[in-house]
Amino acid sequence: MTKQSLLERFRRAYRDLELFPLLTAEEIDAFRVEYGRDTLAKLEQVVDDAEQDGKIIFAGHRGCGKSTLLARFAKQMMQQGYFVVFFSIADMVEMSAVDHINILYAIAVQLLSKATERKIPIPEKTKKEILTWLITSRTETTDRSLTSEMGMGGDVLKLVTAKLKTESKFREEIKRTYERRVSDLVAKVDEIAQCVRDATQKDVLVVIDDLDKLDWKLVEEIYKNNINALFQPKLRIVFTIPISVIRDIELRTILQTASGSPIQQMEVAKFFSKADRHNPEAVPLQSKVEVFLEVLQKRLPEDLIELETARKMVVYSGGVIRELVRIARASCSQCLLLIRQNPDQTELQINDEILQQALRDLRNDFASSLGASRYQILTTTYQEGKPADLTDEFLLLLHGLYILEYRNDEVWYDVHPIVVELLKRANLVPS
Amino acid sequence: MASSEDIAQENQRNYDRLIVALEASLGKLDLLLAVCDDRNLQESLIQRYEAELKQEGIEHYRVLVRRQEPSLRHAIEQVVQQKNALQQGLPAVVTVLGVDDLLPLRLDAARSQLEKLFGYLQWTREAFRSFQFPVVVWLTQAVLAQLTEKAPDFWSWRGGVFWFGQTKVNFVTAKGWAINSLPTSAELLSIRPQSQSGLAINPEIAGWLHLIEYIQQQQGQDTPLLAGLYERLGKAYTQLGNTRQDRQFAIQAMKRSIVLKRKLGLETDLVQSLKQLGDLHFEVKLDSSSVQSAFEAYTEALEVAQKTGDRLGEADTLKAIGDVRKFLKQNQEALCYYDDALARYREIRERRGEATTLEAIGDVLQFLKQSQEALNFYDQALVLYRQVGDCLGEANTLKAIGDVLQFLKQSQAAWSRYNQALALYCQVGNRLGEANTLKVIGDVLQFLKQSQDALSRYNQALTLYREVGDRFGEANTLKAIGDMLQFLDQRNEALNRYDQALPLYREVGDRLGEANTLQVIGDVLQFLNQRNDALEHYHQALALYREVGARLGEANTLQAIGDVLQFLDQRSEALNRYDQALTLYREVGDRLGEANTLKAIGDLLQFLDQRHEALQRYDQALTLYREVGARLGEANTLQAIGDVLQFLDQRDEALQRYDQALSLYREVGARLGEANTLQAIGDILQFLDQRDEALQRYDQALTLYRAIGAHLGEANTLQAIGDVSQLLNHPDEALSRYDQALNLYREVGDRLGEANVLQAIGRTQADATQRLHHLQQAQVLYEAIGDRYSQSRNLAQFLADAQLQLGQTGPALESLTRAAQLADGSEYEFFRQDALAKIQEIRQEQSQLS
Repeated sequence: MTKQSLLERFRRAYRDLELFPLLTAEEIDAFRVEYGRDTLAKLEQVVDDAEQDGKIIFAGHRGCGKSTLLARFAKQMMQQGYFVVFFSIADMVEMSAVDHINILYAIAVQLLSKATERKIPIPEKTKKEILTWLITSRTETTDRSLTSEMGMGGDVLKLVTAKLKTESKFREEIKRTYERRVSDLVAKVDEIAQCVRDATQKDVLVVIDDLDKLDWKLVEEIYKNNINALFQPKLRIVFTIPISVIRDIELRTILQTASGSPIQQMEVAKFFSKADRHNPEAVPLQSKVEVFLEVLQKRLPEDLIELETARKMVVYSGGVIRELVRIARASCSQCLLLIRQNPDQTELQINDEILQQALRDLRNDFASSLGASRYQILTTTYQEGKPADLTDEFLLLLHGLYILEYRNDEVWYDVHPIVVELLKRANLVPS
Repeated sequence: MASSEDIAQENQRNYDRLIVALEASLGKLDLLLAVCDDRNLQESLIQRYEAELKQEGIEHYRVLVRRQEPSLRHAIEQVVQQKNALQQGLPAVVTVLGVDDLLPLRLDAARSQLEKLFGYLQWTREAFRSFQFPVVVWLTQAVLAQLTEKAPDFWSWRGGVFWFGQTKVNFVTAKGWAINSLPTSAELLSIRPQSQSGLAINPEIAGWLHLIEYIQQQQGQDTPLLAGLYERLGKAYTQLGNTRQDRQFAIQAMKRSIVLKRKLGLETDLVQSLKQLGDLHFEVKLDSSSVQSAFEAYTEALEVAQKTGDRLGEADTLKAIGDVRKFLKQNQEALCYYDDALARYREIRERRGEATTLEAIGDVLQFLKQSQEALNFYDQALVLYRQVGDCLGEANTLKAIGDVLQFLKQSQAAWSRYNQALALYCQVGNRLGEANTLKVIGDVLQFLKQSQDALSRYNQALTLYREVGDRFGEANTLKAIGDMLQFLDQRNEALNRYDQALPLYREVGDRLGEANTLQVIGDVLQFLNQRNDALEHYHQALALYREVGARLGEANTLQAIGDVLQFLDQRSEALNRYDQALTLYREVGDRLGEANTLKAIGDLLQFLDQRHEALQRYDQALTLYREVGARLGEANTLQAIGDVLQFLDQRDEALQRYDQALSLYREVGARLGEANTLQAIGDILQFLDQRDEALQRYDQALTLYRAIGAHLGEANTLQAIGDVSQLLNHPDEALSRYDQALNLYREVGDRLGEANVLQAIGRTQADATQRLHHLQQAQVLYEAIGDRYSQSRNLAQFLADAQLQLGQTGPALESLTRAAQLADGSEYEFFRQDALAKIQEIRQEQSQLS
C-alpha cells in the first residue's frame, strides 16, 4: 500500500460512511443491506389488512433505518398496486412550524402534485377548482401572485410548496384560513383521492416521513389535540412518530384507539438478551452482528479494519445503524489524524486502540449535556433495565439515543454502550 | 485544573481532527460542530484553517446566521448563490458564525432567536442534497448543550464535534477531583433530589444540591470537594440567572465556596471565586450595598492574589476595583487602580487586559471632559485590540472615539469612526453594538440636519433593538425618531413614536426617560391645541421628575404648564407655576431657563395690564440673556419692552428698543423677528405722522414676510400700507393693497383681519352703494366673530352714515340703535353716546322736514 492510497482510501471510507439516510438509487445500490425485513413485512401486512381509510402509526429510534426502510416500503407498495404518495414533512414545512392544518394541507398538495406528475387524468375543471380553493385564503393577500402564476401556467404546486416551507406569513395565512374549515380541507383531500381511485382503480396510500423528527412536545400537541382531524381523510395514511412519544401512556392510548391497530415499530437490533446484556462473557447474537458487519463492509474496505475490532464496533453501536456508521467514521477520522501526524506510514488498520480513541471523542459529545440527575437516570436504567419513572428527562434521553429501547416479549431499556463507558468512568456502574 | 499545556495539546489534536474531517469530506455535506467559548481563539483557529485550506487550493467562505430569521439553511443558500465555486462544486468549506449571538440577551425575551434556530435546524433532506461541501458551525458550550436536546436530529447528523480552549468537564472529572472520592452508584441512588416547594428544580442544580448533601453526610462540612461543588452550584445558578432569586442563590453558593476555600487555605482558587463573587454583585448594581459587596470581594481577591503572586489575578482585580470606582464616579481613584492594572498587564504581556484597561481609562478621562487625553488612550487600546484580533473590543473603542469626536463637534470624524465600528459589530455579529452605533450615527445625522438619513438609521437601530430585546435602546430610539418627526412637523407621527416609547420606559423602570417622553408628548399636544391633554401629560412628567429629583426637568415642565395655563386664561395659576420654575432654575443655576421664565412672566403681567411690573421682569430677563449670550432671547425681550413702552406712549424709547432688537434679529438671522420689529417701527412712525418713513419700514417688512412665507404678517403690513396710502390720499394704491390683504386674510382664515380690511375698503370707496356693500360684509363677519366693539364701531361710525347717504333713514336709525345697544355698559361707552347723538340729529332733521 502506498502512502497516497492509504490517505485516499481512508478519505474515501470517511465519505462513504455517510450519516444521512440512503435515498438515491445509486446510494441504495451501493450501500443498502437487507435489513429490517421482518418490520417491512409486518408493515405491509398491516397496511393490506387495514380498511380503505385505515391509519397506521410507525415508530422507531432515530438512526435505526426508518427513512431508508420507508423509502423501500413505498416502492414495494407501489409495485403491489397501490397509488403511493411518499413524502417527508420536512420537505414541505419548516419543522418548527408543523401543525395539523399544514399536515393536512401538505397531504392535499402532495396528492394533487403526484397525480399530476404521474399523468392521472383528473378532469381539468376539478383540478383547477381544487387548486383555486387551496390558494384562496381569507385575506387574499398572498394568493394574488399564485393566481396570476396559475393563469400563466406556472407550476403552482412547486410555488405553493416553496411558500409553505419558507414563508411564515403564508403558513399563518393557511392556518387562519383553514383552522375553522378543517372538514372542508379534509373533503378536498378525499375528493382528490377519489379522483385518483376512479382514474387508476388503485387504493391510495400516503406515507409521511419525518413526523418523528419534530420536537416531541410539538408532536404531543399535534396528536393529542388534533388526532380526529388528522385521521379524518378517507384513505390509508402511515404516520411516523418518535419512539419517546409512545412511551407516554396517554398518547399511546389515544393513537392506538384512533388508529384501531397497534403501533408498528422498527426495532433496534438486539445483540444480547436482557439477561445477558451486561455479562462480559456473553456472545453477541451472530445473525444480527453479521447484518451490521455487512453494512460496515459496504462502506469500509475489509483490509482497513481488524475483524475483531469491527465486531466490537458493531456491539458499541447498540444496534442502531447510524451509530455504527458514526463510530466507523470517527475511527477513519482517527486514522486520517495519524496519517497527518506521520505521513510516511504505509500500513494502517483500524484496531482496538484507534477504536478507543474514536469512542473517546464520541463519548465527549454525549457527556456535554449530562448533569448529575441524568447520570442517575442512566444508572438506574442500566441496572434495572427500566427507569424509576417515565419522566420527561428519561424521554429526552431516549429521544437523544442515550438510552435505547429493545423489545422481544417485553420492552426493556439499556444505556447506549458509549454512554455506559461514561458511567463506568464515573464509578456509577462496575467496570 | 487542567494545565495550559494540556489545553494547548488538546486544541491541537482537535484542530487536526477538524482538518482531516474537512479534507476527507470535500464535495460532500458534512456538519462539523466546533465548540469554543473564546472568541479570540475561535478567530485564530478559523484563520489558521482558512490559510491551510487556501494552500491546498480550497476555497473558504464565512457566513453569518441572520438574527431576524436565523435559518442555517437560508444562510448557506445565500452564500451558495453568491459564490460560483460553490455552485460549480469546486472544493470549498463554509464556516457558519453568529450562532452564539442568538442567545437571549435579555432573559425576558419571548422566544429567543436561538430557539428559532433550533427549530430551523430540523433540516430537510432536500437541503442535504443541495449542499455539497463541509460546513463548520461554531458554537459555545452553552449553545451546544441546548442543541443536543432541542435539535436532536441535527445533532444526530453531526459529522463530528471539535472542542477548543477547554477540557471537557462533566461533573465527575471537573476540576480534577479524584474520581474515587465520589459516591458509588448505589449510594448515589439512595438520595433523591427533592424540591421542597414541589416546584420543578432545574435538573442540573438538583444534581449539584444532592451531591453536596451527600458529600456533607459522607465527608463532613469541610472538604475541598465541597468547596468545588459549591462553586459549580454557584456557576449553575449564574448561568440560569432567570430571576433575582437565582442570582441571590448564586451569590450564596459562591460565598460558601469562598468560606470553605479560605478555611482550607485553597488560595489559588480563591482569587477566581472572589472575583466571580464580585462580578455577581457588581453586575446587578441595584443598590449601594451590592456595589459595596463587589468592592469588598475584589479587595480580598486582590490581597490574596498579591500574597500568592498571582499576577493575572492581581491585574484582573485591580481593573475590577477600578471599574467599581469608576461606577461610583470616584474618577481619580479609578484612574489610580487602572494605572496599576495596566502596569501588571504589561508585565505579564496580557495585551487584551491592557487594551480593556486603556479603554476604561479613556472612558474616565472623557467623563472628566479631558477629551484629547481620552482619545489618546482609546487610540492605544485600539492598536492592542487589533493586535490580539479582538474585533468587539476594537468596535467598542471606535464607538467610544466617535462619541468623543461628536462631543467635540467633529461630526465628520465621529461619523467615520462610527461607521468603522458598525462594520466590525456586523462582522462579529454583535447586534446590540450595531444597534447602539446606528443610533448614534442617527444622532450625528440629525445634528447635521440630514433628517431622512437619520431616520433610516434610527429605524435600523430600532429593528435590531427589538431583535435583541433591548427595550431601553428601543425606547431611546423611538424617542429620538419622535423628536426627529416633530422637527419635520410630522407631529402626529411623532406622537405615535412617543406613545410607543412610553410603555417601554415604564417596563424597564427608567423614570427619567418616561418623564422626558411625557414632557415632549405634552409639547406636541400643546402645539396641536390639545391643551388639556397636554396639561395631563405635563403633570405626570412633573410627578416623575420630582420622584427622581430631576430639578431641571421639573423646572422645564412647570414652565410648560405655565404656558398652557396662560393660554387657557388661568393667569394667576400660570404665574404661580412660572414662579416655581423660576426658583428651580435659580437653584440649578440654569440662567437661560431663568431668563425664559422671566420673559414669560413679563408677557403675562403685560397682559394683566401690570405694565411696569412687566417691564421690571423684562429687564431682569434681558440682563440674563445678555450674560448667557442668548441673542434671540435678548431681541425678543427688547421687542416686548418696546411694545410696553409704545403702549405707555413712550414712543421714542420704544423706537430705541425696537432698533436694538432689529439689529440683533439681523445678527442672528431671525427674519420673522426682523419683520415684526420693522412693522412695529412703521406703526410708531405712522402714529408720529412720519408717513414716508413708515411706508419704507412697511415695505421692508413686506419683503421679509413674503420671503419667509408669513402670510398673516404680510396681510397686516399690506393693510397698514393701505392705511398710510389712504391718509396720503392715494385711494387707488390703498384699494390695491387692501385687496391683496383681503385675499391673504381669507387664505389664512383670519376673519377679524378680513372684516377689518373689508371695512377699510368700504371706507375708501367713493361710490356710496359700494361703500355700504363692503361695510355690510364686514358687519356680517364681526357678528359672526362676536366682536362687539367692532360691530358697534362699524355701525355707529361708518355703516349708518353710508345708509343715510343713500337716503335709507330707517335702516340707518336701526343701525344706530343696535350700535348703542352693543356698546351699552361696555368700556367703549363713547360709541353709544355717538350713536345716540346721531339718532337725535336724524330725528331733529325729520321733525324739521315734517
